[in-house]
Amino acid sequence: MNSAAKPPTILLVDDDAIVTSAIANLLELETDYRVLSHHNPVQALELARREPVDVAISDFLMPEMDGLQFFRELAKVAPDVPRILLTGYADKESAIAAINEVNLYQYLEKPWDNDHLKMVLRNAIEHRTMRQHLGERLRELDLALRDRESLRQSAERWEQELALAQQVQQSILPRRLTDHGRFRFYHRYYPTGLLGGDYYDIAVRGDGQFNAIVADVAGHGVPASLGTMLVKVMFWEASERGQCCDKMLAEMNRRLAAFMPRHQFVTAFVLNADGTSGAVTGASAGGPHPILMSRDNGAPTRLWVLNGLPLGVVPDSLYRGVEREDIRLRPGERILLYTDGLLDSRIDLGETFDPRELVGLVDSLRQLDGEELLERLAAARGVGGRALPDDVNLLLIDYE
Amino acid sequence: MPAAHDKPERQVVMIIDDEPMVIQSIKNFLTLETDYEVLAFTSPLEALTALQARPVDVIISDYLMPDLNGIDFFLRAKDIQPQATRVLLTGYADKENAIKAINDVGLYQYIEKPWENEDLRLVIRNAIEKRQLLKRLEAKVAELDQASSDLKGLYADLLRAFK
Repeated sequence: MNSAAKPPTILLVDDDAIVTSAIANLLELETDYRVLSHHNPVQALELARREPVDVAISDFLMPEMDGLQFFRELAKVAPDVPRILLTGYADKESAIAAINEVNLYQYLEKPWDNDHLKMVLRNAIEHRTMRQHLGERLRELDLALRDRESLRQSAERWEQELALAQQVQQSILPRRLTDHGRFRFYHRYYPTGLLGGDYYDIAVRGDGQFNAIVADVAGHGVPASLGTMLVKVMFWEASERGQCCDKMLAEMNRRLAAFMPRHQFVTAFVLNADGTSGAVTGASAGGPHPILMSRDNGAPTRLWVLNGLPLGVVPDSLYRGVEREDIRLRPGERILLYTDGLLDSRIDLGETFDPRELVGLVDSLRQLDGEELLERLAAARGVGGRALPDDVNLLLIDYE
Repeated sequence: MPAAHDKPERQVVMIIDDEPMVIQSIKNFLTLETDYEVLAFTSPLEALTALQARPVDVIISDYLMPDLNGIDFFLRAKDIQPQATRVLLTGYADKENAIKAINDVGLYQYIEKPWENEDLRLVIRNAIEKRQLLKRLEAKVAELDQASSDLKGLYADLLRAFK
């Protein structure tokens, strides 16, 4: 049971050389213990000050000091070392009397029996080892409890900060979307954690048109939620300048590429529409393709396929390829914008969703009222009631 | 969870010897001179039944008994209560067997008959201390496990919050 790789060390003190060599020979032959023999208790104490020992065996009657005196002194130097006293028949009584006083582990009567001596030593070493183990466990426990406490405190601090971040983030997302002209807006947002990395918004411009955006900042938690704030600022600045779509995305890319950390990027779909005419312009930066549909059996339900690179990855000089398209909606037509969380909402269950399947699903719901359509769509994708692998963000735009 | 040493509970010593005289003398000595609770049996089979029912700290058994010798008794007792410290009483003739059994049955110590009460007292004290140390070690290991799983849980919570 000895935990240390090195053999247990026995300190042996007897003024009689015959005794020390008999015990030392026995232990060297039949055990792996290291034996340090001394004939003089004062020197033995000197040694115990310098060297750790595991068990001490001492004769009772010695010239400089008796065995009990020796153990008292030894206890000051090495308090946890089990003490075994060798006694003659005559001093056994004194040894017994001293059991508690010097906290004797055991006494052995001379002449001792070798097997008995080995057994007592084995047990003494085991005691010593167990005590050491216990001391180590207690220290480990102390550390673990301290770690736990400090982690608790940091967790509390972080929770407070996260709650604050959550408040800030919720304040940047629109509370409700106000309908504009002949357009109605419906929306659902299910963040995966306390903090989402998705953003959606409608900005009504001074010229009677409006811009809409659905964006997804890669990753989760604090960095992603900070990213959504940047996107918001850029989206509103561009909208106030009357800018949209491909130009807006190129501008966003320029600014995001300049200071976004590596591996972080943003996907977005933006559109601009005239409040009355139904003329809509869209542009995509790597997000999933929106779905175009009609409430009244008009046009077939289809993906609005526009290609574009995500934002913040390549520098401005290389950022080309944002496709823009102008379409004209007829009354009763609707556009569903969403982030890829909708496709991946069951990825943790081993199920990925093909956008074409999504088209089929949305087509079966296309005649429903906006609120109900989003509810049913979310439910069909397993959203709500369980932890999501990714934020799910839906924005439905109805043209009446 | 309080450690074993936090609340003083009476230690239980079980004695098995087919001679009622031996049982009586050990029991008298321990009852007079120690705080241990003593359970005494003249039949090792009855002692095994009792071990099923309640935990003991130390078991002291005679070697030569009619229906089961002390070493075979310890083998079965070890299955029921591996934690109890085992001490064998031996006559001079069966000491060799006792020494062989030290590792086979995990014998803590043997005591030769006729024994001296002071020796017996010391052996029982050390045997109980060993049992206590084991208990405390187990308790601490369990507390450590708990603390480290708490830590893991806290880490996981923190990580989740930042995902």
